[in-house]
Amino acid sequence: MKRTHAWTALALVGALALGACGSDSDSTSDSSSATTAVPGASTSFTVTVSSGNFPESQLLAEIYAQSLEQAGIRVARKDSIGAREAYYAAIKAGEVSLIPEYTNSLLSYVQNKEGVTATLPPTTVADTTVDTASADTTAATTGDTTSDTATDGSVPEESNGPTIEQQVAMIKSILPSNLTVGDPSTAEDKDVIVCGSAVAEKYSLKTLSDLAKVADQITLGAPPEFETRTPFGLVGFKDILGAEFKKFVPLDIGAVADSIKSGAIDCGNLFSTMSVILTEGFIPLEDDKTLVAHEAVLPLLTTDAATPEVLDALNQVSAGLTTDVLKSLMVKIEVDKLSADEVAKNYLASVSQSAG
Amino acid sequence: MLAAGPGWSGPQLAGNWDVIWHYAGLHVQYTLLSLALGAAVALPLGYASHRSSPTYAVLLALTNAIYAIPSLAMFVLLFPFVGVTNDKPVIIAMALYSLVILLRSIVEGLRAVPPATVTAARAMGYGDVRRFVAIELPLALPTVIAGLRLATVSTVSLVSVGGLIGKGGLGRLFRDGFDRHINVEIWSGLLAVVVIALIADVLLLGLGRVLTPWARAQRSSPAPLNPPLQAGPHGGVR
Amino acid sequence: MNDFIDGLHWVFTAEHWWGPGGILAALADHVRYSVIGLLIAAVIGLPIGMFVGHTGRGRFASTGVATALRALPTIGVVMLLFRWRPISIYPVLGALIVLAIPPIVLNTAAGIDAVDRDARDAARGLGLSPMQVLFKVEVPCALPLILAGLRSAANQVIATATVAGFGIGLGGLGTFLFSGFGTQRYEEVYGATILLVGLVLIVESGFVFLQRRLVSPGVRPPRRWQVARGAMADAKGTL
Repeated sequence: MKRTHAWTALALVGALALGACGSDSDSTSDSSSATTAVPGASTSFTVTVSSGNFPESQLLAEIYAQSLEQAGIRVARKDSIGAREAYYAAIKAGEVSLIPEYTNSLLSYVQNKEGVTATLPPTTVADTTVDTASADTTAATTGDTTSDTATDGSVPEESNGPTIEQQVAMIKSILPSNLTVGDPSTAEDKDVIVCGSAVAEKYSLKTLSDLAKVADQITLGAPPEFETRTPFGLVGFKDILGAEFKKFVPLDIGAVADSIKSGAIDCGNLFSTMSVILTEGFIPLEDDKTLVAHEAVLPLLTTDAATPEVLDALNQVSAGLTTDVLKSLMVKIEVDKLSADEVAKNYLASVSQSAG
Repeated sequence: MLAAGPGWSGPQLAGNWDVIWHYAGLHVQYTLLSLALGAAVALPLGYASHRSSPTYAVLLALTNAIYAIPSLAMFVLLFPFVGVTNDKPVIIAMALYSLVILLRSIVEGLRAVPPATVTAARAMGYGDVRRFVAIELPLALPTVIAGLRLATVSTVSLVSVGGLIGKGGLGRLFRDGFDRHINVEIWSGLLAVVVIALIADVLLLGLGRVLTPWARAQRSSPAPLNPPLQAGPHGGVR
Repeated sequence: MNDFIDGLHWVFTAEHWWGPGGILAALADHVRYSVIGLLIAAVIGLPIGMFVGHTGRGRFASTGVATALRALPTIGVVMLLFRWRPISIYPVLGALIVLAIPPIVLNTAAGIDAVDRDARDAARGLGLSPMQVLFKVEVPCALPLILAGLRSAANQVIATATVAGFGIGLGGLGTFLFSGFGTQRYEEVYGATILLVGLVLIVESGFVFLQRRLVSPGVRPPRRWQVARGAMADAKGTL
């Protein structure tokens, strides 16, 4: 997930700081074979798919995996690997060959990890500088917005900073030579601040600016990274929105929803595709100052695995995936609690049906 | 396996037994490896401690201090040394945590060996190492096994933390159940861990009996309770 | 080692101590949870331990239950209780109590059970009722082990109370571990660990002090060979 689960992030950020990422491929307990892709010899060519340690990533990985299988490509599945620090290290070392990712988070992470700055490709809008220090890409001071026709085409998703295409170009320019990405989808899963419906009603909260006005009466819960993050974090909220909250409670992302529900916090940081937003009737606040960059879903894979057939299959998946589709699939995963395997199977079946 | 995540489907238990079984198997693997490593390290340490009291004091303080380190912090400490993507951090961490219990039980067990027997062995010409292996260890076995049982239960429980950072084991069921709000999954994980621990405990109990046939006579009389070896400041997961 | 020094630095920076997110507040919460958890566990565990030790009944059940409780993974318990009552003290307390009961029960039972037969006989001979025997003779004699059980439980509780701050926002030293990791401010992690170890040491010395004061001089801590023999006998006994 673009913002790692706190519990998993805790354990793995240390490796980042110490700069060592021993890529020891000794894996005693992962059950499936960890054969990596071998190009050329088509009989033994296998794509090893894995994911991050959270439901959405697991679902996306399974969709990718099954679509590859439908295209006649051999797939091996590996247990989900934990936070980005871990699975990025794994794919870079070739232990896995395919993992679902999100544009902005991947971009920020790779910049930080590889110590490079991606320059914005000269396509559209004004200067957008990418800040290696912060965890998000920040736009220039004028609050650039770019939009894509994301959902059903009628309401473009506005976001901060580069367009998705620009993000992908930047990512490709800084990835190590053995990694690449497939086409992005229009499905996005972004950070969002939601409030309990009672709180939202009480203060008439619709946008983040509304929230900023009454921040001194609001208790906000979010994963700990939120505290120091900008633009979408306490620091950013203070600088850009002038918001200073009554109290900030660091929480595991899985605990935020329950906390809002129980009234322990007024508002919290969730991800936009989480179905709990719908089921609990939380009010997501509109990002009227466009602080959040695009977080489009795209596959990260090793160049070895990036054969034309594989890319073809993956790009087809990306083409069909929209934010609404992703949200509805997550409802099946989180509300109906079906397994990723089933949901992926049904989804791909319905896609091929409608494709005729 | 079918998918990257635990393939738990639906808010009910039915149809998910294979998921539980799969992760229970991984859990047992982790436990066995950790205990084997811990025992392998504890034996020589125990031998050294038995020969020298100051060494024992130092080692005991050290292992107690290690025990006090929160599990996730321990993983982070280990990552630069053993890598992030494999299972070693969990196994090594669990082995380290088992050290304090195993070391204490080995030393206490050795101390319980009647001095007369040791002297007799020495008089019979047993060399140090041979005496240790052939005489002292077997006589120390009851206490050692008691410690091993404690270490096993504790390790089985702690291995679940690995699941939080994506390293196999039943801990994954906690994470998935928590994320997707499937209470039954959390319950199942909990119960499975307890069942594994209890089975391991009973098996070790049986093993102990088999290995100490000379104690059979004592077993027929009502057994006094076993004052548990202190598990130190660490119990579950932090 | 650098981080360790940073941690010490962090602990000794005055401004970190004050305010709602400060060290003092966290310590207060941490101690509060630990004390409440330990007290409840003692209230439950001591009577059970005394019963099992005094009457000799329910040994198998109590050791079985104690093992089961020991096996319960704390995060699992916390997560489950959290689903039931989010951001309340229940998840934390539940986990702490589950953790603390086994050592208290087992040590109390073993301590009372190990009391010299002769002392018990003498007490009965003097005309004391069973309850009086329990409280006037057995408990004082078993005090070293009972205190050892409480001490072990206290250590475990303090270490595990960190879970309150681990993503469920209840304060305590765990908050620094949690935030520190999340924001890559490792001095917080090391600092909080240092404080934790310090807390454990304080509690340990507290118990040593208690041991000296409360345990009657006639019930000296057993000598090395006595412990060893006792351990062997008991251990064999359970086999």
